[in-house]
Amino acid sequence: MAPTRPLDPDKLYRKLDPASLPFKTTEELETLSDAFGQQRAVEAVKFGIGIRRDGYNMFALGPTGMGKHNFIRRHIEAHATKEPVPSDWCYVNNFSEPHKPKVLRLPAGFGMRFRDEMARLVDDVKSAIVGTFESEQYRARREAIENELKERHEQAFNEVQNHAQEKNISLIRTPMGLGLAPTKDGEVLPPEEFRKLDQTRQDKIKADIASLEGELANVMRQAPNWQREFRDRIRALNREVTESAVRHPIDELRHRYQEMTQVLPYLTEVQEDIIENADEILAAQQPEAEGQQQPSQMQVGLRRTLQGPPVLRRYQVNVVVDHRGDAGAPVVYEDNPTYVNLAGRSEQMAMFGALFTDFNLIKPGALHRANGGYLILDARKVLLQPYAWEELKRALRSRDIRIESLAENLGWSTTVTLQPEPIPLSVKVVLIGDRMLYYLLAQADPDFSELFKVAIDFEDRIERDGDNLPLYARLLGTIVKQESMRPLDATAVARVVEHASRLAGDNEKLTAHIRSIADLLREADYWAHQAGRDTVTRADVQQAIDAKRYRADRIQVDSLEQITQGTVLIDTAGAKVGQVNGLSVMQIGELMFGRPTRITARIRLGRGEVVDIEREVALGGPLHSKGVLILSGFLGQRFGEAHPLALSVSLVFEQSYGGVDGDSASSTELYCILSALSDLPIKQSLAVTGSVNQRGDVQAIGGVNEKIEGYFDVCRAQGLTGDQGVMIPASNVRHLMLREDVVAACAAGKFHIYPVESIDQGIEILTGVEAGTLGPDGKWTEGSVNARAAARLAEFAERARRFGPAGADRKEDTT
Amino acid sequence: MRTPTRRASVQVRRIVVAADASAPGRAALDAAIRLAQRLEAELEGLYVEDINLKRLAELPVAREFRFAGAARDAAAIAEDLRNEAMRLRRAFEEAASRARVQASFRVAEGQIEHGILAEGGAADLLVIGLERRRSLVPTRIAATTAAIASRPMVLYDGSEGSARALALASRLAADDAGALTVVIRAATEAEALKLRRDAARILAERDHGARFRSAVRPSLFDLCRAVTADGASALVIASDDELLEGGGFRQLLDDLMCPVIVVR
Repeated sequence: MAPTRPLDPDKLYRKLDPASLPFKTTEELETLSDAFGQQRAVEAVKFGIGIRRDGYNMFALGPTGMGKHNFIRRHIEAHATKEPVPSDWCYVNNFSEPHKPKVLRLPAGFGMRFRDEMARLVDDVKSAIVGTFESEQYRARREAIENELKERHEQAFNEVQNHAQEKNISLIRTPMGLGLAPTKDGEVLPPEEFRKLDQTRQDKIKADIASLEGELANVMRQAPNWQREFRDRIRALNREVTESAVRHPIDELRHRYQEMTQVLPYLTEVQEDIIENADEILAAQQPEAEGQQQPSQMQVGLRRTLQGPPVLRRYQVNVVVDHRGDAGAPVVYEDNPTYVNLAGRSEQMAMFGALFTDFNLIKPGALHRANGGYLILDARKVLLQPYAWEELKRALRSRDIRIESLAENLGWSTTVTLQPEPIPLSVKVVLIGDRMLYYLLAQADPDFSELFKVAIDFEDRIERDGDNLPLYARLLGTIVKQESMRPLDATAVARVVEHASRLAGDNEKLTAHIRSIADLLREADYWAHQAGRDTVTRADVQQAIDAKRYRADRIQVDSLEQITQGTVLIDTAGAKVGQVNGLSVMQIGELMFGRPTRITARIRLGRGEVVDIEREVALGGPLHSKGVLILSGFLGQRFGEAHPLALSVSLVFEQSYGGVDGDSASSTELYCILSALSDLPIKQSLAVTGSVNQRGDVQAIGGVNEKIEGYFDVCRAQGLTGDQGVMIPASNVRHLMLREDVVAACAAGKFHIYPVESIDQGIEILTGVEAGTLGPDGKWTEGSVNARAAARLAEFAERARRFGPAGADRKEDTT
Repeated sequence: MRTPTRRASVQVRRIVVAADASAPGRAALDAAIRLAQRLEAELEGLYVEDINLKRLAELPVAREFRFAGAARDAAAIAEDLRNEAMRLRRAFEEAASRARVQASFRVAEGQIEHGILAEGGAADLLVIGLERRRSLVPTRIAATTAAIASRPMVLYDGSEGSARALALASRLAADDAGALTVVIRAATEAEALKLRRDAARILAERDHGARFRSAVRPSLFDLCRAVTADGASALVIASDDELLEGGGFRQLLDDLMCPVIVVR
């Protein structure tokens, strides 16, 4: 196999030549009004907005910081302005069942108008009723009824009185009623005179009184009926005069709202209720009128709290959704999507130790405000709020908004609460969340797929090509303008673009994570300010990158120190059998850094197992275990056809105590085993990363930049020799966006990056010995790594055969 | 009609309030206490036990039929009368004590109107609040403890007595910012007009306005109707007014629902 050349420096970092940019600073660039590189998301939003079917709500998925919220809002608002303004909604009293307030639907802008007109109506009615009941005509008619009743009473009693007087007995008013007593000369007979009368006379008087008692009892039995008749007639009178007083103002209102079919029946109910309760309304206007008691403290407090007499609250109108002055459909973002903030609530007032509520205390939620339009919610926030998710789904399924007490629904409270009439709901909901949340919901919640059929999937990365670069520059310019930052010059733009590729982990891509880029711009602006510049340059951007790294790299520095001090053993020179520098990536917060780890392999006679020590002590994750099993498969396929693999291999990440996962070190481990088998030392000046398959192909891994830089830092700390470098999978070359110092060292020949496609290619670099090929005779190229490994395995197999499975004198041979 | 007088002053040193335990009676008590406080006058409370009721209570054959409740022997009436007197005394003494008014209370016995006139004879002001007893039909009257001076009505016929009544009524209304109604009683329309000007002058001297009504030869019945229709809070009348003669006083007590203030 021809020797593998290290990568040229230009493959290690894809620069953007500032001179290729057609501007001096971003000040010259047009503001970008729309997102780019998110065509899939754009199409999805358009579709989601356009389709008017149940269940086609949207979920915008992607990592945080992508600008999903602004994107969604911009697109929806642009569309919503062209849509009609939805109806106003009001709650009014249900006169037959006050605890079930009714809802009125009115054209946009009419809610407040109707409320104000009802308030005026009530004022007019109050005045009309007071005027009517204080009028001479009313007084006269009432007096006539009272007099008629009084006369009837008087006549009835006078008849008894007359009969009594015929017998010289009189009917006399007592404090509690009426008394019958014998009289003389118009006065009650003194008792002593009565006693002087003869018995016959006394008996006669007694008998007369007894007979008159019967008459009197009949009259008194009728008194309640007369009273009832009086009350009925007064009531009828009051109804009649009230009706005449209120008819005109209510008819006027009916005329103005004759087109609104829900309002007319309500006005009829109002009219009827006013007529029924005219006396209460009258009393409320004259609390201290003659003949009335002073209001109690409770009544005064009640009136003050309710802003008016309780009886008049019945006729108020509670406008819960008001679209006065609005243009287009509403777009609502609810930042705190609790159950009540979504569905609304019935508030209560505490008064004198009791709770009071009525339809005036109904408060709308986000669903009300967004009804007829769009509601944007953060998915995670909705899920974190108790019962908010369930309520949202219920509302979307049943297409109505119900204001219900959560406590009552859950059985925590049994007090009587309001049950407002549900409001029909027509809304598009857009949930915004990360991908994991979307997939979890799709899998675990059967309702989710029914209700959120439109996924708006945001690209994490966009192509770094001639079409997108100008747009990306405009995006940078837009951000700095929006936040009143210093403009970027072309060198700064180039550096930001390069860093965007680094963040995307691919030199042919740019990150779409707007927040990260925006943060970089803000920090670069800061450094430009510190340097006294009016324009941000490449140096400021680099400073921002370096400073951010510096702020977070304490642990990385400690880790390097451990290596340079010899606490953690890493060789960067010489060669060792069965030992290789592996590379891993650590992520702590936002910082990712690579560090080398010594991987060793030891072989002995055994039964063909590869013991992954990490897995044995539960420090190895499943992906790492899979990698080990794959390399086992490779070994078995390559060396196990002719004879059984009579070896036992133990692999370990030396001085690693925190757990290992991923298969990016599986090729490294395989090199280690081949070195141990072939007894050929591996150059310690090189570090290796790459996953391997059972065919021996080296596969791409993640964090390639960090891994290379991590090993470079160690080598630099221990002194660059010119031999050091890293072997990476060839398929990772496109992901390289290495640090400037690494690239410079490679350009100076002091550090090398080797792209590798196969295990054989890699073992040749590491050992300097030909890997060897398998001849038609089944033998490997003489002296090659594979030949030496195969010979060793054959030797193990022979030993194992000699010892046999039941051999008593079996010994272990350890190398 | 009497000889008109120009300026009338009211010196009130002693007020007698005759009342029972009804709502008008309580209103009259409170009003009298306030008057005594304001005028710094001595106050006497008077409860007249109706002699007929007393006799009724003592007759073995008499029975009482209550408007609410079963019939009972008339002996219970005596208990009611005693309780009423006691309640009234207690209410009066407590109210007078709170107002820090020099007051006394006594119980007399006799015919109501005669008893009131006889026992209240020496008073400068007689305030009367009784439930209508002439009517056999019970009437519901709400309590108006503080409203007596809110809409007083006074009878003016040009006499010295009526001028004093007018002066007092004006003062009552002015102190409580009430609305005074003056009923001008005259033999002719022309006289009524003249008396009206006289009354206006008297009121102007006190810087107080009023509403005027004229009545040419009104009967007591007409006046009672006017008081009731106007919703007057009290009727102020001179003690020497001829309307009080010949059973007129009794009729006033029986027909009016508001307290009557008799000015000497």
